Amino acid sequence: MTNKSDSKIIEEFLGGNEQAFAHLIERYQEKVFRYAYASLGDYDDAEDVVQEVFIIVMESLHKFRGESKFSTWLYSVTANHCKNKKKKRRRFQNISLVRSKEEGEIAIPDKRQNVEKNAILDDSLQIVKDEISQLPGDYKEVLILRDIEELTYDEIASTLNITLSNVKVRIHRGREMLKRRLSHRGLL
Amino acid sequence: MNNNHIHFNTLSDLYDKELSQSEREQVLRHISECPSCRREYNALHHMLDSVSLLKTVSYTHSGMYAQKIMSTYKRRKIYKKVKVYMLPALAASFVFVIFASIIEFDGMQSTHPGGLLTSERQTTRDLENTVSEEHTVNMENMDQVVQMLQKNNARVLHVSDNFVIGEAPYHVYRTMKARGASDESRFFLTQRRGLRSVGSGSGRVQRPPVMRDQRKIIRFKIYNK
Repeated sequence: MTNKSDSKIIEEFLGGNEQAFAHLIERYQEKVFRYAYASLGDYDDAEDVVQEVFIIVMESLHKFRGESKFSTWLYSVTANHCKNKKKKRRRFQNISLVRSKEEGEIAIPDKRQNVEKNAILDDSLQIVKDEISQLPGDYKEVLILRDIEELTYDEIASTLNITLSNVKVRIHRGREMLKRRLSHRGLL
Repeated sequence: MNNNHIHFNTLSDLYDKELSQSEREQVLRHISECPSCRREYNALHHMLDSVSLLKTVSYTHSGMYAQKIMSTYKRRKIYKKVKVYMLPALAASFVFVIFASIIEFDGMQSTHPGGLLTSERQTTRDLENTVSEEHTVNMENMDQVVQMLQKNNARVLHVSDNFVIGEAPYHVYRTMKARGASDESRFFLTQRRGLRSVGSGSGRVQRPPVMRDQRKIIRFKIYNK
């Protein structure tokens, strides 16, 4: 991976060296995937989001004015894309397959359920991860951005296009809710 | 402070270093003295430390994103270029071809008024006046002539007891004529003898007016002997 700064790589890309963008993909693919996976909870959707987001970013990189950090802008595109993905998914969820009671639930094991490399994910960490994924979307996304991706309040505000006070409220409520849930699970 | 205890939001702000210096000192002082608030803050601290550990988990995504994304991006770029430049060019070529065909068609009609016709809107009388070739065929009835024409993918434009007006590409027409002269001698048997040109009166086959292009359509009239 190159040591060049984001802005330098962007400059090269806009100057015609398209291959330079591959460095940005390598640098941020993990972060985008992590956010998308935590936000959507679906491996395939998260993979799609990673690819789609980077293509969108490449196609609209000339519009990036550099007023915020590239990573903030990238998160903002990712957050919007995840929202759209969720909307689409909700639309399709309305179509349910009717199944008789006798038939019962057929469990289809997804071999990729545990996509974490560290298979020995500490039990408590697994619980934390599960509980975060159960949080309402608004709280979940700010917690991911703040407590996992370590964005500042300002960055979160511009990423999600919400006010700073709104960020604070969501962080407080999200954390409070998560704390209550983890207490119920006996973790705190 | 809530009932002399610190509100959760303030503890959260303390963790995020979002408090002013004086607020921070005040809250820390309270925490050091209040076991309940200390317990609450420690729990929050522990929870957020655990959450931040999720950052260290690396995911087994399929990887190779860079290559896939770059190739998809290049494909889409080419597709966009095609959309932007090629489609108008194709449309322009299409319009040009149509325009050129119209001009050529008009030219053919003006220079050879009795020549090739492709318009279906003309009346039978017009058709009769503008056939390019006439043949006499030794057929029992005109149904057989019609069948023969259809078999050869020629278009039948008009059928009467005495004659049939048909239309076919020149190469099809030529094949029919050739067959009539050899294999299926019943067909066009009398061509060699009875074939005559409109207005010429001679027994020779009048060559189609414009035959530079073999795909051009020729209209003919076949008489029952």
